[in-house]
Amino acid sequence: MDGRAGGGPAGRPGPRWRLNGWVLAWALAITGCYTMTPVTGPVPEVGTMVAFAINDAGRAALGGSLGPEVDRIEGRLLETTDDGYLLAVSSLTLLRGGQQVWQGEQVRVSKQYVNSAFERRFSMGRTIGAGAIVVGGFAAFLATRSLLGAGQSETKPPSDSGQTHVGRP
Amino acid sequence: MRRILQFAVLCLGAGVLTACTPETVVETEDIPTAGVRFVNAVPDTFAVDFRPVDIVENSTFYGVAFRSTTLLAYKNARAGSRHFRIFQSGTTPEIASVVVKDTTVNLEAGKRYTFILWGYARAGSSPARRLTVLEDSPADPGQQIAFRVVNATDAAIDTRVYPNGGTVPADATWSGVAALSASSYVNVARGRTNINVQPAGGGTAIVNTECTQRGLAGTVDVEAAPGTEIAGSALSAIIVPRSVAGSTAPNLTTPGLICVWDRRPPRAPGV
Repeated sequence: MDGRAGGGPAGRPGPRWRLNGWVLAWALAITGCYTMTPVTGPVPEVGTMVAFAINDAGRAALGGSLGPEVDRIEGRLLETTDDGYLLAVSSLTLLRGGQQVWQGEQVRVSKQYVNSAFERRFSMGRTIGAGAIVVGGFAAFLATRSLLGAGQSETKPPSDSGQTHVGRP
Repeated sequence: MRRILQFAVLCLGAGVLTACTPETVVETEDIPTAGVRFVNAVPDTFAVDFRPVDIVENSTFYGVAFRSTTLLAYKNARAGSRHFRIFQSGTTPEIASVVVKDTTVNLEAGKRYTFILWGYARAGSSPARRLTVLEDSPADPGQQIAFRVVNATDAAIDTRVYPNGGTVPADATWSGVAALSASSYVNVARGRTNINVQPAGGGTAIVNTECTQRGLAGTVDVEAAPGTEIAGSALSAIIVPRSVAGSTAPNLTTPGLICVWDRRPPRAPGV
């Protein structure tokens, strides 16, 4: 690939390259924007993404609906009751490592089975950091491949009008 | 031939020694348990962790912030003399190893307890931060519900309990409940219930709201959930202060009410 795969003029990134770059930057930025932090308010709000660290009693009690060796359960909070929570589960983190992706299946979790609670929050630090890395990396990529028009121009091809000497075989 | 015979006897002896252990019955202990829960009512500092430090147990409450009800429920704890510690909550050893309170308490099997951390953490503020263990074991209120008020504010209060939609009664249900103390239980009629809190001696209401722990009637196969509408329930109205402005506590600008159950209604036959 020569940097002109997008079809742009020589020495400049083509529209497709630019689009790919921005898509990459956006994708990285939005994944870095959120972090799981301990719940600091009185109670997590319905509709937010939360995670609950499950204790041993919870692993035993919820084994039938979640499966064995669950460390953390993550999902959207659908309902809060005095005794527990109703979650649309999006993923499980297992004690021995690894993650299971769920499709929003609903599971009720009693408070007595929860060690600690986390909520997904916007992280300014991560966002700025990820953004800086992405933008810097993309700029460096462009610079090292002479895609911004600042590099040497390509050698001009010989004119058709000149004489060409072809040696005899 | 003789050597083979000796070897066979030796093998037989080794087999007997390793294989033949008498059948034993392993007794599984029926652990005597009490219920414990933890409330953080300290309005001027950050979250804490409550945990047993004598045995490994599920009675831990991690990351409990001021007025947080996220994990406010009873957890089973082994009865007997128990050692608990409250640490600052954090992810670094420097913070998480700081002990805020250390207590040893005797838990009786079948009883429930509220560990409440209240007062001010900042030096010079009064009342100073302390840990109190409340026993949550009221008598059976029969066809009524039992209520008590737990005053986590820094001043004495008068509290009235009245039916939702009704008028605030002239006489206080509990008068002059001192700061950082709990009243006795009083039986009242079941039904949606409001709590009105005023400074001791009267004045503008600090809190006037419904206790939202209304409960849920039992069915033929599901136990009733305790609440103001379910006879036989007991509840605590915990009056919590506003947070100290500029502190690391969650920013809550007015005093509030945390309503929690202390006693479940009796189980229906067959449940």
